[in-house]
Amino acid sequence: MTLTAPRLLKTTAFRLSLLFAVLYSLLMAGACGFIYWASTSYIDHDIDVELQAEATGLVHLFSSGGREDLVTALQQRARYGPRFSHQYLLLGPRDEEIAGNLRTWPATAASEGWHTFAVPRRPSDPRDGDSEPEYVRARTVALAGGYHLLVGESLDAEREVKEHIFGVVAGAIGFSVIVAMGLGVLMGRSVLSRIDAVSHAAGEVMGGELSRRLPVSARSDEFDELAARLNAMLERIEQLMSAMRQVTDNVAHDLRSPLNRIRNQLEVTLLESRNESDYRTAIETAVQEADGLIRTFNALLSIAQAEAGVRRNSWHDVDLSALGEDLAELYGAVAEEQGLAFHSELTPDVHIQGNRDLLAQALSNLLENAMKYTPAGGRVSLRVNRSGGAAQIEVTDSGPGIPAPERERVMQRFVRLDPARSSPGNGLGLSLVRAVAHLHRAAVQLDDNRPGLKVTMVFRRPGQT
Amino acid sequence: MAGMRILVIEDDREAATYLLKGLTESGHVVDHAADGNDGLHMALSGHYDVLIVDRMLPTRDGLSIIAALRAAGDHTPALVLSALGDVDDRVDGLNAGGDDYLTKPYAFSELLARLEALARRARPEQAETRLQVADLQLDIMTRRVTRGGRPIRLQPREFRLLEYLMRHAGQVVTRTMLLEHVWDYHFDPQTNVIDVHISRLRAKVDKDYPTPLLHTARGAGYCIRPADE
Repeated sequence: MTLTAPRLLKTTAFRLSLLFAVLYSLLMAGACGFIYWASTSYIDHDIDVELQAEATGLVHLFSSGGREDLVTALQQRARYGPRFSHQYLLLGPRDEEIAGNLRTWPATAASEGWHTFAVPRRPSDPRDGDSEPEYVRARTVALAGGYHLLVGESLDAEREVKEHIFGVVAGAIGFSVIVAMGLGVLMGRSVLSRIDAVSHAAGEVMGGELSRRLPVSARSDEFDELAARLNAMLERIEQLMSAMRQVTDNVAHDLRSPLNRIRNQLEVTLLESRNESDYRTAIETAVQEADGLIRTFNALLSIAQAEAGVRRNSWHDVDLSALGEDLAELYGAVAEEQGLAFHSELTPDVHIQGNRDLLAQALSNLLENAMKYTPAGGRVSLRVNRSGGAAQIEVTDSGPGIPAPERERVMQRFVRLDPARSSPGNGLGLSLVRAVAHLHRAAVQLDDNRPGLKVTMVFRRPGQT
Repeated sequence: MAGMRILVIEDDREAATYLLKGLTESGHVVDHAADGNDGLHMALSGHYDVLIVDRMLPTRDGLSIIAALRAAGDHTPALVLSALGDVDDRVDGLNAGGDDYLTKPYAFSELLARLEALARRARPEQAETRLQVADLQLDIMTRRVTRGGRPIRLQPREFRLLEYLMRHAGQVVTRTMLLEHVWDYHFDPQTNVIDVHISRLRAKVDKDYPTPLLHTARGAGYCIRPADE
């Protein structure tokens, strides 16, 4: 997958950064507008303060030195020319222009006060081609004897400053919008590229590379957390797949041997003609072998059923104590027959929710195992009790036990510790126990009974996860 | 129990042939229907002692045939055959009105024993409270067992075991049937657990008497019957 523009525009990261760019620009515009307003009003105020000071100075000069001094001062100031942006005009009692560099008294200006007015540009003005008239801010003062004085200042310079500030502000806003959009694109791309990496790895896993894992960076951000989670999930899937393959291999192996035996026996029987009792024996042997195969299949199906979970309509309240009592009665006789001491300790009224048939089968598998492997004279016991509120079943024997390293392995399908496989059984008993326990949210634990084996099934308390 | 009239509703030709051959050789009269609708029509004629119904059939499935029969007031015992062996499937089969449920593959002796038990159960003399086989007597009400007038003391489970055997006196009952009906378990034990209980019962019922009543049917199960039968 490539980062095409339309795909980028659709990314959440890009949309979010666009939104932020817009909001950020509005905020910037507000802030810069305020700066613009504050600086221009400061400039306006500054001009007024300066004009007021100049006017006051000239009024003092008039009252102390009279008309002559004022005219001299005005002429001196006018001589500085256009570079000195102050403008003056002194009118006599008959409104005649006496001195100053302003040619005419503006029509709108009263005799005393503040005025802003436009004057036409002189041809020599350096701002040639500017169609805007020159604006002048002025203070007018009425002097004794009917004289009127105007002190003004051109606003050209102020306008330039304002235009400059405006330019800076607009530039800043534009720049930040562009930067925000650019960052949005970059963020969108970086998010997209990480998602693409995940998607690519997922594609490879689906393509059969089960050992492939998602990339996890050192940043440990939410992407890495997600990737780590997904990796754990993939790990579990791979384990399950490999367990599955193991089971399939074992099934194939363990079913092929009896099938082969049946086939060979029947074939040998057919090689020469025999009497009826020989045929009968051969057929009976074949039927027994077939029954063994069917039992193995049934056990596999029971395990699969327990592993897949049973429909809840066959789940009921199961009295484990009563079940234990039943099984103790059923198998107690077998123990006695085999010269084993059997005893049961059953706490009354231990109940769980579950499937009675599956639990009975699991428990009978444990008891049958215990009796099968314990030599005559040994002990087998069954306990049902509650430990810290959790229902618990315990089957112990005084047989050879199972070495610690093998305790996990024996619960897998077809695993038998007897390498010659001389004892009867199919190696599925404990697998079923584990599957049934799992279905009932119980943990199976194999321990050393010193001597012998102790198998404990601990059911989780209701509501416990 | 010889000479039952049996209807087999089974679409698998080979399985049907095997059943027909086996049942006929065992002395029964057998009819066959190869699909669900035919099966229902034949079953509704009401001539049969027991029905064998495959669960999955063309045109109408086995459970709905039984449900239709029961709705029509026909209570001919029906044994459901199925390739589905889950606990839930068995419960479904029995809820639909089936009287027994057998998962394929099964042993023919198991099927035969179950059919005979079903046909016997349908007869009214079931209500009797005193069972007798030769000089062995069992009183269900007083829970007393005597042989030749001498009382025999049995544990409660031994009593139920003997009661079940005596209710099916003259018939073979399989180990699985005993486990189902006496202990209420529906699984195959890997060991000889039933044999142990039978031998204990035998020690109490037969040991001190000249003629044994509790017989082992080789490869099939057990049967209680008078010696001369």
